[in-house]
Formats: sequence, structure tokens, C-alpha cells
Amino acid sequence: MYPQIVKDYVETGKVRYVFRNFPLSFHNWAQKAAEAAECAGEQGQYWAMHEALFNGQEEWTGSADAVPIFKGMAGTLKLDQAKFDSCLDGDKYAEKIQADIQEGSKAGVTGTPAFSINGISLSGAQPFDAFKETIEYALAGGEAPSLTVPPDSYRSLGEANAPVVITEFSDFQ
Amino acid sequence: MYLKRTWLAALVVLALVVAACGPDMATPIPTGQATASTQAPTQAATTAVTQSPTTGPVVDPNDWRTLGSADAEVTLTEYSDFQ
Repeated sequence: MYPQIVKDYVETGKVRYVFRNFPLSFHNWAQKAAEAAECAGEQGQYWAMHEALFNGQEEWTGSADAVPIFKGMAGTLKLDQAKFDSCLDGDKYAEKIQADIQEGSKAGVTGTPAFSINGISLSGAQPFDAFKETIEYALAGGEAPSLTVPPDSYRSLGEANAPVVITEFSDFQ
Repeated sequence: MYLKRTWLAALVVLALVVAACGPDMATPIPTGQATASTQAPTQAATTAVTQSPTTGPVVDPNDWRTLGSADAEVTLTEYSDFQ
């Protein structure tokens, strides 16, 4: 998450930021890392673990066994170690992560990172200005492209129930 | 001459009947505005009116993976992994 987005939009009450796990299958420790964040979350330290996992990527991504590293991070954050270890070893949040993946897939996510701003998709690592532009568009009442078109839309051509919808975003200059 | 007139009249009547009963082939492709004002809404269009806009996932109030106000106008959802 970009600090500038948090400062300009989240802390001002304009934007609510939601994180959803989408561990890619070829990232061997991504699923367990997501579970570690959830296990920290139940102890009120989700964002601290979130940051620790990203900042410590070099330490654990190439590891033969990243679980002890995740447990070490929990210790550094002064979590209840026994509770954290039990949570992580017991795969307590494995299904929650899978539910996130299903939710993301339904939203059209195929890679990471992927973003949805009031339903408007942004894929890949984007510059702050891309987020700013889309957020401002949404704040101004801009709508996400939709596969359904209201019958009273004067900005459409063709049948309302056509199987294909082409949405053009343009300006007149 | 009389027979010729009778046939002509019969052809005119036949043409009028066909034009009145057949499909309206002369109607141009409707524009969006014309569609909205002259056509009855289809099932799909009716559904569209009642659907809520897709603004993001349903978020549990106790979800620890959120930042910011629940009343914010905009929801930014990030799908990502840690690796």
C-alpha cells in the first residue's frame, strides 16, 4: 500500500482500503505467509505482520522452510507465541485464504497485485497517479464499466441485453 | 380495360394488406435514446436496475485487513500475495 494513498485518502475518510490474499500457486510460501498474517491478525497485529512479511521477503522467500521464520517474526512482534504457533501449524486460516482466492477469481484477478476501486480494475504495480486518477473519478461519482446497461442510459447504442458490451472511456477534445 | 383495372385494384389491396400485417422492416437501427424511450425493457435490463453496484467485497466489520472508515465513499481492494 502506498503511504501517499493512506495519507491523502484513507486517513481523510475518503477511501476504505481492503486487503485480500491471492497467493499464487508458484510462490511456494505465499499461502503460509498469508496464514501467518491472519494468525497475527487475531492477536491485533495484522498490519505489523503484513509489513514484516513484505520487508523480510529476502529472508524467507528462498528458504527451504519458512515457517520457523514466520514464527520468529511473531516473536519479534511480541505475540503470544504458543497461540501463534498453534494457529499457523493448525492451518487455522487456510480456508479463509482460499475463500479470498475464490473472491479474487470471481472479480477477474489473474495476477498480483490487482486492485479494485469501487469496481474499477487496476492491474499490476501502478504509479500513485494511476490510483489518484481512479479514486478521484470514483469520488466524482464515476461508475465502473458494467456488463449490464440501465435501460434509461442515453449514452448507449444497441440492445440492452446484447451478449457483448463495449464500454468506451473518452473525452471530446 | 375493365379487367385490367380490376387486377390493378386487387394488386393494390393485396400490397396494403401485406404491408399492414408483415414485420416492420423499415424501422432503422435504434439509437440508445430511442431504445430507452420506445422499447419495453428486457429481462436483463430490468435486472440491471435492481442490482447493487459492485463496489468491492463484503467486509466484516471486524475484519482486521481493512484500513479507514467503513463509511468511505470509495473502497480500494488489493488482491496480493506476500511473495
